[in-house]
Amino acid sequence: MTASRDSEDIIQKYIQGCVRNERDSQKALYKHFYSFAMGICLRYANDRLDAAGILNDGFFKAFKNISKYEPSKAFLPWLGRIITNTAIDYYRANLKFADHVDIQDHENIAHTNSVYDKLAYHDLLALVQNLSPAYRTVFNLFAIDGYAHEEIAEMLGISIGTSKSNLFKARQKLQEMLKATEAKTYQVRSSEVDRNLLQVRLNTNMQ
Amino acid sequence: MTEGKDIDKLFKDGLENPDLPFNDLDWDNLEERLHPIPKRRVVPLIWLTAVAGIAAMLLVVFLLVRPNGDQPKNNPLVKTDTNAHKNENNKPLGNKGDLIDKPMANNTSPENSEESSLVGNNENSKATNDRKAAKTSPFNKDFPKVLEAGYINQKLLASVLSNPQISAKPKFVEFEQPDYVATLASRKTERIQPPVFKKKSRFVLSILAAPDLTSVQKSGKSSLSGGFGVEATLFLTKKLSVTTGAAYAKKIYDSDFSQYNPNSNYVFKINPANIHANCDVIDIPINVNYKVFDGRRNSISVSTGLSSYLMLKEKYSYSYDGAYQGPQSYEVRNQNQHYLGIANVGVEFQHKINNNLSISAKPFMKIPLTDIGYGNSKLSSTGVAVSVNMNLFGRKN
Repeated sequence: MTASRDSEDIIQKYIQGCVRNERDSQKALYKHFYSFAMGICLRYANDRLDAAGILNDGFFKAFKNISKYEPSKAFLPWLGRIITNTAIDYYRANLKFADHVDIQDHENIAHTNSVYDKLAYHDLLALVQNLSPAYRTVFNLFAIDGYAHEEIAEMLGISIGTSKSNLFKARQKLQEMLKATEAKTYQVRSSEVDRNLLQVRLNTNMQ
Repeated sequence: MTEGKDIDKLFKDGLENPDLPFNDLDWDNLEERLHPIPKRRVVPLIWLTAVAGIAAMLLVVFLLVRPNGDQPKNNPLVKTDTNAHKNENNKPLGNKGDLIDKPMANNTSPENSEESSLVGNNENSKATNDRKAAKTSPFNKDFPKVLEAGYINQKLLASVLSNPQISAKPKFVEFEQPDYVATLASRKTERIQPPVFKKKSRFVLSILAAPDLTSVQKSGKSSLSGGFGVEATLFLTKKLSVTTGAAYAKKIYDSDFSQYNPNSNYVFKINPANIHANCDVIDIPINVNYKVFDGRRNSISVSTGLSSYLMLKEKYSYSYDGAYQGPQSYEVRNQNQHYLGIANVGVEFQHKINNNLSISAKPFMKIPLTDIGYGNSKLSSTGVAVSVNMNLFGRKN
C-alpha cells in the first residue's frame, strides 16, 4: 500500500484541481492511481470488465467527494478504501456467505491455468478471480489488504466466525487450484516453476 | 495456520502492486460520467421553457407597468391637447394651406421660437404644453362642448388614444409625445449609468431572433413584429462586456394620424383616421452588458445601450373614417437614418450548454429618443430576443 509516495506535491495539486472539478486534474489523478486502483478492483472482481466498472464507480465517488478528503492525510489509503468499499458493494448482492465448501468450479480452474512460466501476476489473479465473491472478498480483505476479522465482519455485515470460515475455505480452494496447476505443470514444465509450487505446498518460505 | 499464511503471502506479494498499463477507454467512460454531455443537451429544453416563462412574465410586467405609469401624465395633456386642437380646427384649419405644419404654428404662436424644435426638444415642449393649457382655458368657456370633450378624453381616452375624437386632431400627439419622451429619456439615462453584463469567454458571436411588439408610444396599440441578426460580444472584464452587431427587423405598427407627422407639406383634405406602417429596418445596437449573477451554468446580465436605425423601406397605408378616400399609401426608401436614436434596455438570461455554446433569452425594450421614420413617430418595441451564442476563441476557464 505504499505505491508512489514520491510525487506527493503533484498529487496535492491534482487534488485541488479535482476539487474545482477540472477535467485535466481529474484525468491526471486517475492516471496516476490507475494501476493501484485497478489492482484492487481486479482482485475483487470476477473479470476485467467488472473490475473496470468498479474502478470507475470508485473514482466517480472519489471525485464527487474529493472535497471531503483531508489533505493532511495520505491520499492513497483514502482512495484505496473507497475503491475497496465500492468493490464490496458491487458484489454485495452476490455475497452469500456460507460455511460449506463450494468446489464445483474446480476442474475449470485447472484448465484456465494451463499456460504459464511461473506464477505471475495474471495467474494469481486468475486464481483469485475464480473464487466465489464471498470467499474472494474475505480473502482479499484479510490476506492482501490486511484487515482483521473484526473489521471484515463489520464491513460485510457478517459474524467474525463466518469471516474466519470463509477465509479458511478460500485458502483451501486456492490450494486446490494451485495443486491442479501444479499437476499440469509437472506434465509440461520443468524444475523451477515446480519447485516454487512445491515450496508453497510444503510451506517453506518463498522468495 | 502457517500453510494459510504462506498462501496469503504468495498472493499478497504477487497481487499487491501490479503494474497495469493505463487504459484510455476506462478514462473515457469515467469522463463521460463526470462531465456528461448528452445529459446536458436534454436539460436546456427544460431551461429554455423556464427562461421563456420568465421572459414572458417580464414582458407582461413591462407592458402592464408602462400604461399605468403613463396615465397620470396623460390626463392633463390630453385635456390640453384637445382644447388646443379645437382651437386649431376652428381657426387655422380652414384658412391655412399646409394643414399639417401650420396647426402647430398656430398653436404655439406665443412661443414661436420653440415651435420648430417642439418635437425633439422635450423640456421645452413640456413647458409649452403647460402654457398652452393655461392659454386655452379661456376657450373652454367659449366652447363648453370642447370642455366636455376634454373631460371625456381625460377620463376615458387617456389610455386609449385611438379614439375617433382624437384622431381628428393632428396636433394631439405632438404634445404628448415630447413629454413622454422626456420622462423616458430621463429614465433611460439612469439605467445607462451602471455599465452592464455577459458571458465568460473573451469574444462571443450570437445569432438571435427577436419577436417584439411594436407600437407608437401612447397609441396603446401594439403589433407583432420581429427581427433577426448577428451580434458580437467582447468581454472587457469577467462581468463587463460590449456588444454590437446588426439585426434586420420589421416594424409593423398602427398609429393615429395624430401621431403621424411627416416632414412634408402635403395636406390631406381629410385626415386619415389610421395609419398602418410597415417598415424594414436595420438595427445596429451598441450595448454595454454587466453580469449581475453568474452561476456555473446560468447567468443573468443587464444590458443597456443605443441603437441606430437605418430605415430601408417604409410603407404607410392610410385608412379613413368616412366614405372619403384620399391617398392610400406612401412609400419611402432609404431616406431616414437615426443614428443612436434609440435606447436599448434589457435583461439577459443565459444558459451555458458547454464551454463554447450557450443560449439566452433577453427581454428588451427599445425606447425612441428621436422620432423614427418618415412619419416621425415615437416608435418603441418590447420583446424577447432568443439567441445562440458561440465562443470564438478557445475555452478559457
